[in-house]
Amino acid sequence: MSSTEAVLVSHTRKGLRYKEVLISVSPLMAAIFALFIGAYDISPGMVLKSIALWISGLGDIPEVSVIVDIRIPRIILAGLVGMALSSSGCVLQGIFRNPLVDPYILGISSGAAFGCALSIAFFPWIPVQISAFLMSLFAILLAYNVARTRVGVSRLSLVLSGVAVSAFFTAMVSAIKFIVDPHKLQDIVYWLMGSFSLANWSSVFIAGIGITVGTVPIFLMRWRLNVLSMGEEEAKALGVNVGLERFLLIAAQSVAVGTATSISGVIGWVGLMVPHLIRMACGPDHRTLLPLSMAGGAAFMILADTVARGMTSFDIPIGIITALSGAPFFVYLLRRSGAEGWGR
Amino acid sequence: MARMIFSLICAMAFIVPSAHARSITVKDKMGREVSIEIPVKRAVLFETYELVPALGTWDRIVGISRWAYENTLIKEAMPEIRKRIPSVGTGTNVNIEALLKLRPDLVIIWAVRPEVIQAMESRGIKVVAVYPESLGELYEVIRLHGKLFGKERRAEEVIRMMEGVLDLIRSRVKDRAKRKVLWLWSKPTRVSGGAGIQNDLIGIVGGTNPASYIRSRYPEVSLERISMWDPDLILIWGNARYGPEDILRNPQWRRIKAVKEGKVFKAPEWSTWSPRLALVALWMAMKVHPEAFKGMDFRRMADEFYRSCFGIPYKEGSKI
Repeated sequence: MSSTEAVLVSHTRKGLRYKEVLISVSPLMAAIFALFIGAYDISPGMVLKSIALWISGLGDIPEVSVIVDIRIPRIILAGLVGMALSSSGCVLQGIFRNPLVDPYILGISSGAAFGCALSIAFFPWIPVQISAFLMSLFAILLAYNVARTRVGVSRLSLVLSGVAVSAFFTAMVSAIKFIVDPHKLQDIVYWLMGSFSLANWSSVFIAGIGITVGTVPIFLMRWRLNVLSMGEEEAKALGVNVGLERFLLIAAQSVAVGTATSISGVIGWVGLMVPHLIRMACGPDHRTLLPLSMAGGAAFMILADTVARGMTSFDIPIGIITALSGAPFFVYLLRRSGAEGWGR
Repeated sequence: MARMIFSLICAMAFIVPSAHARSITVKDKMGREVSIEIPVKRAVLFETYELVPALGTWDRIVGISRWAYENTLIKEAMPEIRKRIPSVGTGTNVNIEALLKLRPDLVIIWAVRPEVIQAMESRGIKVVAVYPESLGELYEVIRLHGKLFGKERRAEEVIRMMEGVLDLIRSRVKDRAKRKVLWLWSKPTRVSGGAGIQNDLIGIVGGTNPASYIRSRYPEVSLERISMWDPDLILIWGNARYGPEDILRNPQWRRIKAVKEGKVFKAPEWSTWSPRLALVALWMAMKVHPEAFKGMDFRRMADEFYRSCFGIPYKEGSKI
């Protein structure tokens, strides 16, 4: 009862605090910073000139092509994917009331991996992204239906069926990896390592549509997450159709994460960590937690990708950067503040 | 277990009687010293099977990698390969029991998974690991096969044939200005760095590899870096899932010289751990310096090489 009360009481807003403002504008700041960093040496003045030339359409020098065709779409794509993953993590952690849940808990990444492997190994005429997207949705649908009983879908059985479906598809991917020749094997392995190295405007366009379709409903339903995260009995007592709302939220986040994964591969840590960081900084109220998670996820992913592409001669797989930079910081915050953000 | 012990005894029994044969000690790619009775009579090859038709050692091979069944050269040189020589898995996934059953006196495998090699050795099988990373190392691997199978002279002949093609290339390109050549692997942003055979080949065919300062075989780099290198010519690995049209159509590449001039080509799907490396080099050279090879017929050259090296005609011409 007391926790229910606390959440309801905290609905009285105290105006925006500086932390919230900072997090809200962080994606923009990260993007502007990222614009000036890259393998192709372009001075800050030249970056600004190139953008001016592009907007005015007055000239086409090589720098314009690098900034406009390579750097900007990559920054936008990283931001979109970061937003999708961390908003999904926020939604699922709320629904399942479990801090260990990440966007891949229901089998979406292994479904996508299976789709990718299928396309590379057996159906080369189906684009990898489409196959990965469809299979990721199929995996999550399967998990949902496995968990369904006559009385509805319980949270615990959903997590368990998600684990089972993940294991199954992971095994299928291993089976395909075993069958195919080494060249295709290499393709599958590289695809599974998330990366933005091939980002272009058409991938930004596709990701933009899929991620918008997925995150707008989540954004609009963020009020309901407060109620859903209180627990089934309490939510029902307040007159919420728990099963339906939970389904809608899961379906929406699946579209967002499925799109993100099919375009950039599996990128860990962001969806798990960013919502926690925001929760520790700004509290557990989903009305602010969700939008701030979106912003924080976008900013974090843009910065991580800037390191991935700008630090060495290599283009380092982004998952390495997200885990290496995220995990220690996360541990530090956890040790400082404990799990207080969870309000227990 | 009993079966394994039995097989082990069989393997031992096979080795012991040949004790009077000459024994050599080989230092392999992983720095292991292996002493082997030569000539080898029952070998299992996981990687270097293209050397079998070149050295004429089909009668010494009792097992082969599963990948060999898909290899175009092997299929043409030995159409009934699936029936004649059993497969015991691949270089990364070996069926040890099936391998033991073949009673091999030598296994040649790539130097990738030490635990697989250890598993075979612990069952009394002699293993040599190879992984040629330069032209010189490839020649060493060919010579090693010659020594192991008692075909030293043929091995030298094969190397001379390869050097013949490479010398022809060297003489034609030596006075030409070097061109910047970028080699792309399975993904357009995965390039050939400063290690590996591909880097050597670019040098031989009169090119420079802008990625050679990255001391790695297949580094992944950003598109920006490729734009900065601005290669004169882009060559795509033959087994990649994309082709020149994907690069030429992509607006992100439009500023690169090779793309502006339409000089993006996909290589033949040939292994470079094989004498066929010489033909890959010839193909590359003819793309990098076409004016130096005017009037030269690649098909005829390839056919000549196939006949003298592998003893079969060259049939893939239409694809090149």
